[in-house]
Amino acid sequence: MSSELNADLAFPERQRVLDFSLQNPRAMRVYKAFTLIAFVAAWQAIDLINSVLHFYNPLLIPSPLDIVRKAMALWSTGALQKHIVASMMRVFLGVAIAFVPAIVLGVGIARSRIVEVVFEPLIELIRPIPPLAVLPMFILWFGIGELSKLIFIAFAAFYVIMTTVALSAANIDVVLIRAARTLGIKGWRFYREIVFPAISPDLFVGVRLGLSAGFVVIVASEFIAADVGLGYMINYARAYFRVSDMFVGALTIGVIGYAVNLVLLIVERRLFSWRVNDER
Amino acid sequence: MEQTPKLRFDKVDMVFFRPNQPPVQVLKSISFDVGAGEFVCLLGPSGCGKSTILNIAAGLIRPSAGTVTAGSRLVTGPGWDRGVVFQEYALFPWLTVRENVVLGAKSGAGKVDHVRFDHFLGVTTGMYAHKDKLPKELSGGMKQRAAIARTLANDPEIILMDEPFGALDPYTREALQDQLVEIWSASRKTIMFVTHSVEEAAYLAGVVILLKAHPGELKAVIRNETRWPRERASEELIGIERAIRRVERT
Repeated sequence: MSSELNADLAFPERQRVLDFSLQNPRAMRVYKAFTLIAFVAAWQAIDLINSVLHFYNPLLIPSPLDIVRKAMALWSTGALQKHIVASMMRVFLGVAIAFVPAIVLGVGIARSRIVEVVFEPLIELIRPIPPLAVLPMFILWFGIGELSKLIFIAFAAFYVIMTTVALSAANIDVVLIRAARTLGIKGWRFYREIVFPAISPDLFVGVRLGLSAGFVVIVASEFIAADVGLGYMINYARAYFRVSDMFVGALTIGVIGYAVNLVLLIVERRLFSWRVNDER
Repeated sequence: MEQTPKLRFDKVDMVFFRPNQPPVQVLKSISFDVGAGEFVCLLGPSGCGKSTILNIAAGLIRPSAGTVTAGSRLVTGPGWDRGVVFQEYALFPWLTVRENVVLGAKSGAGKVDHVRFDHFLGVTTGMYAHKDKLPKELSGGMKQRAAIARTLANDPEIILMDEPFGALDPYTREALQDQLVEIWSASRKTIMFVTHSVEEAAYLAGVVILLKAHPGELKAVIRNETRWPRERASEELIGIERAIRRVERT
């Protein structure tokens, strides 16, 4: 047992290079990439076979190559970038609007009984309502312009961020709170110097989830009364039966969501290296 | 010579009420005085309420009955005049050692005196070389040294210590005990120290307050006049340990 362990420690490099097993995270990454490539290749192959046998209408399901060609065409005219920027701006601004209220109410509900009594019943009542259900109301109240879309995204992101923050603020280590109190840290200083740093890693996760929620709902709000944005692009393409455009729109949202999440994960690891269990 | 005590417990009761269960009396009529500059150990088995006494003195919990006075003020909540060192170190993990120490001092003396902090970290607790490290990079002993430095930097009147060396290995524990004694004799701070180790109490304390459990009651106050520097396992200290154990058995 112990000699086995020593061997691992003595030749770590050698072990990593030769390990093709599913235990090796590097090997796993390669396998996963291969799965994706295999899927796209199979799709392309089926399209090729279909062009001879015609067992489905190729207009409904374009091939990967068609989609890439379409994406490149849309990119070269600048249309795709315009839609990406519009949608991303809406998501980021919407989440930014939700940010401060979500922190204040999340921390408030977790740490103040008065805030809990006043706000929690209302928040819990509204929580189960899917954001899409209130979109028509928001359009009546805030018009068909940017404002209703921003508030709609803020609404969707608010709940995610607030819930994460409230849970985090309620679970701050009691010993740390006691230490702060015996050091004479109270009032605004307590929130700024103890509560905020203590919840900041979870707050970051909340923002990440809030952005995801934003990307989920943005499309729906752009279906209704928009003249730019990826949701508009998809809906417009539907009207003209351009299925490739619809695929490009949907995949673009997927890629943006993935990329934003990835960047934030890297930032998160850098920013909160003080966390004890950071060996992931 | 008889001054007002630094800390006075006067007939303190503590009863915990839990839903659907009979109330538990944790402390029953606890009265004692801690004089200025004294090193007092609260000693007793688990369930004797020694940590509860410490938390009441710190102002973290309110007693059910009785009064606690620190200096001339009634204890109604936590304050920087009563610094606490916790067994779990309680360092803020997002701050470096130095920032932890500075954080405490900001509420106490009012202004941040960096020369004094480096003095605390360097001379008093030997943490100067580690001042820019994060708590997660430190060993248990170093964490507790940092926590002690933080408490000292706040310049409290009384230092309350809740089994501070309980989680440390015996070698580190002895090293920190000696360091604490040095700090105590240099600063002449009043210290109330909770432990369940008879040896630790006999080595450190000038006064040992012995408690019994269920409910927590004062059993005896044993004075330890052994002069400093003390030697571990010396005849004198073993005599004190024997005296403590004799009372414990009764």
